[in-house]
Amino acid sequence: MSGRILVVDDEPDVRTYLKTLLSKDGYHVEEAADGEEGLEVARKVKPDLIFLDILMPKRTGIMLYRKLRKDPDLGQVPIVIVTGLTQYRSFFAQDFEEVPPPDAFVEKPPQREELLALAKKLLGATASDG
Amino acid sequence: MMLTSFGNSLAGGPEIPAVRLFDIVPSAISIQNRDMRITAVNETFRRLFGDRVGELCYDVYKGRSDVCVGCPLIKTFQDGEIHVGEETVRTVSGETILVAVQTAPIFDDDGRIVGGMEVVTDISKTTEMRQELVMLGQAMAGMAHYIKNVLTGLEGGVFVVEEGMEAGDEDLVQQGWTMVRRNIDRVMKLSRDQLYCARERPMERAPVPVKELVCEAVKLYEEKAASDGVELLISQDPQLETGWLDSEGFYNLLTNLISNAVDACRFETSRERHWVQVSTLLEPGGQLRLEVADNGRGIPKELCGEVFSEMFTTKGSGGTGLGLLVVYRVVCAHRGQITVLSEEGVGTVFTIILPLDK
Repeated sequence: MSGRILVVDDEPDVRTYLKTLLSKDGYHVEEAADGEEGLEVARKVKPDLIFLDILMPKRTGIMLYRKLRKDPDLGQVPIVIVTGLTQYRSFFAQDFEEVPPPDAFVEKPPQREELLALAKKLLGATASDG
Repeated sequence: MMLTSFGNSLAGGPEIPAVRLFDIVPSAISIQNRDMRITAVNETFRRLFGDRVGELCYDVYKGRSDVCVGCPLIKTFQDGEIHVGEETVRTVSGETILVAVQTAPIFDDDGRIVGGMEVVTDISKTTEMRQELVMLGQAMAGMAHYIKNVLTGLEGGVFVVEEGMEAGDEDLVQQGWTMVRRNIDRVMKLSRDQLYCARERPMERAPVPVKELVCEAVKLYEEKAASDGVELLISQDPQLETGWLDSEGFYNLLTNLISNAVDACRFETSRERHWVQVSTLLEPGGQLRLEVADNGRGIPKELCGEVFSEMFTTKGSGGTGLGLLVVYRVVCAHRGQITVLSEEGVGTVFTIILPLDK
């Protein structure tokens, strides 16, 4: 597999986990520890897919989601929300009416096969779009 | 007809003279004239505020020289209706308590308002309980979220260890193992805090070797701090000897503050060197001054006031907010004080003052 994936999570352990898992499958993985850094890295590396933890300090996960979706260059990049929240669907329905919904949700702890299948599917979609 | 007694002896109930009933009511009742001067009080009032008949209400409750803002009794005098309010007042023993105030008008035979009755009920306990329930409820909601993150860390740790072993990569094994260890620590700490919050446990003050206990708590976090690249510094007042503290509570307080400080550093990514400094000082008054300072990421200014007011965490997925609740409870139980000084991006200092005497 090839493709550039950005993992944004404030928990270093989650980043290490996803990086190890996705790198093993051949993806190139970039990391960011909060929303601000996430935006910086995303603009720099132009990822093909983003795994995003939505509940991060200072609401930066939420901020990042909105900014990414509205960004002219990054608006089309698929975003997978990786979260420990249980009510994440209603959370999105309430708070993000003005932007498109995430491409997928993954509840923590993620199932490895599910996560990899998702990456494959979403990266395949971008490849055929392009 | 004047009502002089209540109750019905035929129904088997005791007959109680009205004056005694006035005294039995578990709220502080005062009768006041239109100048706010107290003309009669009941027994509960005397117990709470002293026998202050003839004095001005606002002086008795608050030591003020003029009428309190928003006084419900003034409103009653104006419209003849019942009014309610909440006030903070000072008792005869010098304690500050939160009270609910209800006022009712007293009319003369011509229907003119000649005075009022003020019923003051101590609601400090109820308010504390309400506060605790809110905090616990929110903490429980955060708990599920927290546990999922710990599970992710554990799963991830195991996976990284396995990958490292398969690839013969010693560093990767080590990295995974640190993840497993850290997340096991998190579960252990969570269950400890939960136990501490759930258990109705009386304070057990006993002579405690304060310096040693502080050293022990710091030692417990040395390894964790080192693996997160955080230096743990300690500075103790040599004069500090034995103090009367609840050792379990005090130890919990220490470990929570230290682990919070280490986390604050772990989440700060712009600095090269991170440190947590634990200091003790014996105050001239014989109290312990404990400071836990860090150069971690700090608490945003607008959130500083909320740190103890409810379940609070800035760690996103990393915290439950239970830790500071434990700290707050321990400080309150010791009748101590806690303050927090923090600047975002610079660091945080928690200062705790605890009386050490019996």
